Amino acid sequence: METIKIKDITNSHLAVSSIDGDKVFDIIDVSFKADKKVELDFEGIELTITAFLNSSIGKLYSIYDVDKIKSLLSIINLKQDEIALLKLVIEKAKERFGKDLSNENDLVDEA
Amino acid sequence: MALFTFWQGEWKKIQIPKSLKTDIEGFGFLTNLYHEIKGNKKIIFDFSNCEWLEANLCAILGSIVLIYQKQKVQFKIENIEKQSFLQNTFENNGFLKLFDNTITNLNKKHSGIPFSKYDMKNENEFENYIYKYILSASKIPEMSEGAKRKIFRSIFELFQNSVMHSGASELYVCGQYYTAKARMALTMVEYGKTFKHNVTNHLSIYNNFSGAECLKWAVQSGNTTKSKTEAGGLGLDIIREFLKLNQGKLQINSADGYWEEKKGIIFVTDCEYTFPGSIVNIEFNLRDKNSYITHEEFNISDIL
Repeated sequence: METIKIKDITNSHLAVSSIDGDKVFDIIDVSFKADKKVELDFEGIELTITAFLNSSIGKLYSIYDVDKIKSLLSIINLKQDEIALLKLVIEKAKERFGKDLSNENDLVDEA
Repeated sequence: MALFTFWQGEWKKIQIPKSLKTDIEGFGFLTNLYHEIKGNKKIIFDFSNCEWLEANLCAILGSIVLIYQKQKVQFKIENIEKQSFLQNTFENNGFLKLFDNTITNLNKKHSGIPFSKYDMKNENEFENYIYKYILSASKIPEMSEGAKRKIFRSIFELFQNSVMHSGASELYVCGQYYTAKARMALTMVEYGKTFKHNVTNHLSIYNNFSGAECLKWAVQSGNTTKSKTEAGGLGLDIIREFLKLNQGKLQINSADGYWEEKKGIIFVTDCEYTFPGSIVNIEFNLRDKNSYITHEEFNISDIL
């Protein structure tokens, strides 16, 4: 199992950057592709925001099904208030990626 | 709000109005001022009539000065000494340093959150600024840890929104504690892609949306201009929900749209002038006694 210490990625007691979230996502993605378990350790992180949680964890739901995420991902040392925020992020991600976006995205003007 | 200009030799003098507040008229005046400077090389801001200027608006005024200074426009400030409180505020929040014809004497007794410019790629500097001037500030000691956490989360969500959606390289910020009203305002400005640009380019059905319609769309729960593989559309929700409980205020002026929510009441309109970026102002009620403690306990494996 791979353990990712979030503080080592953010170099701060905050996890607020979507770029840092992308870095976490990339590590998880590599492990998930190899069917390896990942543990996210939030020790020392005092505050998170949706931008970080969306890009690190919420985005997983656009690629992987819930069962795979549940079996391979574990999260430790996340404060209760932050867990409540993560719950909202995951609910919103499931809603967004669960619905058929194909029609809407057909209309997206690609840059 | 009318903008009056005069010529003083080769200098164009712009009269700062009697009162400039953080509202649609104030944003409109400053947007008009931005456009009025174009094509000129020497500008004077004349404060002889000004009796009140909310210091957080220095984020906008200061950003305009710095942007035009890059284009070799010279700026002078005049008659600021007639209002000693304005001079004191502008000295201490760093705004006066932008002008060549001023000498600043820093007085430690002030209630400002300084005017600063941040590289959007250097997020740690902005984090340090927020921690130094807001987290560590003695002005908000009576608030619960939960309330403070919501304030910091709201500010960082707004900052990240700018980083992700504007594509701007710099963010200009300035704030003020209004001690008598027990409120704190923080204004952030960037000159990147506007809400109108992002929304009208997101889906063809939104191509004809006005600035106000784009803002109305963007603040709705679940709406995001991110690509289909990106999660989003929650950050503004979290802020708005907190501000309703806190009795705070959120204002956005982007392109020709204006949107505000104050104590849960929304006002949205198209503007006469187009701001070439986005201004976001967030105001918190510092008399908030709510604890904001999450009573419900969640098991992480259940929420995945």
